[in-house]
Amino acid sequence: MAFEQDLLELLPRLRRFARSLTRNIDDADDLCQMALERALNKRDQWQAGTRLDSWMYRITRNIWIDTVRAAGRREHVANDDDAMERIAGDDHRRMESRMELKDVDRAMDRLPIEQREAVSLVLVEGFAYKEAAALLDIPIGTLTSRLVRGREALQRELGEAA
Amino acid sequence: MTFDDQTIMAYVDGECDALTVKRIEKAMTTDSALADRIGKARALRDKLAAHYAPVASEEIPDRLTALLIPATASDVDTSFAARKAGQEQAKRQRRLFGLAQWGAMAATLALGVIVGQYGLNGSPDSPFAQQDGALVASGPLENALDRQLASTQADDSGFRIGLTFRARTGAICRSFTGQAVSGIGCREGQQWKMISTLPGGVQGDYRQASSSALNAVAAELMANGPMDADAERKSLESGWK
Repeated sequence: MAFEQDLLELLPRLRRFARSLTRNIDDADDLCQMALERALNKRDQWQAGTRLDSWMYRITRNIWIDTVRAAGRREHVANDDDAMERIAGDDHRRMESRMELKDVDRAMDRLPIEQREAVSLVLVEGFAYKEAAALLDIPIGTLTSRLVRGREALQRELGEAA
Repeated sequence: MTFDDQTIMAYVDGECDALTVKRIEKAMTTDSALADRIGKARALRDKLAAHYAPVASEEIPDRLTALLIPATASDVDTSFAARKAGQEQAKRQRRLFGLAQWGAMAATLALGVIVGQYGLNGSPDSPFAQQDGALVASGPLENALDRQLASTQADDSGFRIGLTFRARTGAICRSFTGQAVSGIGCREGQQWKMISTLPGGVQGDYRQASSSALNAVAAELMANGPMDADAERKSLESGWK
């Protein structure tokens, strides 16, 4: 089918997008896998003639947001001692794994999610402001202010080298 | 004239209107602080793009392609036919697979089948031998690939030649079908290196069964179309170069 064929062609870009969102290669491929599965299930909802890449990016991004939010909720509801310890342990591990991240990965990882996705779509994936804003369902003004803040943070983090 | 961060960013992102672009570029010639801000903004963009760019050329994990390939497999034959007509779709498809990927698949598939049947390098009748870690044609298969022409081969040949074509790597490759195993061999030096092999060969009509799967693989590999009888003969006469 042409649909699978087109998805196959999009995959390298989707993986790149997922990597810039999640920073971790396994998480990124998990995200791509979920996105592909959802796309295949919902293929009827894609309107032929519209851009498949935007549709796929949107699916990928939505799953990512859901995953991040679900993870956040779990950490908030856990409040007994054991759970606290577990979270502290997790944080420690996360810190350690952060040490191994490359500068850019780490800087991206520290961005608030709404800045990260904006930066990723425009700076990494090369979408025009209008396309990125449509994909994220936000006004262009909102997108550009997130981009400005995201860039400032990255610039600070990466220092003069950037 | 001063420009805010948003304008500088938009300039770097190619999102400014023509008039603003002109103004900025004029101001940059005299305002070194502005030139510096733009330089930094551009460097950041370049740095991010360069950092993630290699991901797009990584080999895609099987678990992802597996979601899409089963459904495309039935389509490959169409594009194989379409290739002859020179259609665009085939070209796009070709980019997706490399020889290395098929080679890796070939090794796993073929070794299981053949080792089970003959043992490697064990029997002079074995159609395969191992050489420098690669699987190459030997014995009856080597003979068939070396000498047999699809247009003149006997119906009861042990191995039947399917397609002969030039791969994108430049090598001549030939697909074959046999009782126990079918596959594609590509010329490397004086050897036929196995690029793809499928267990189980053909009973009866060799055009059925595995040959359609082989054609699909061949379609991924070939630079142009398959050779006709004339080109195949000339290729044999020039030593499959």
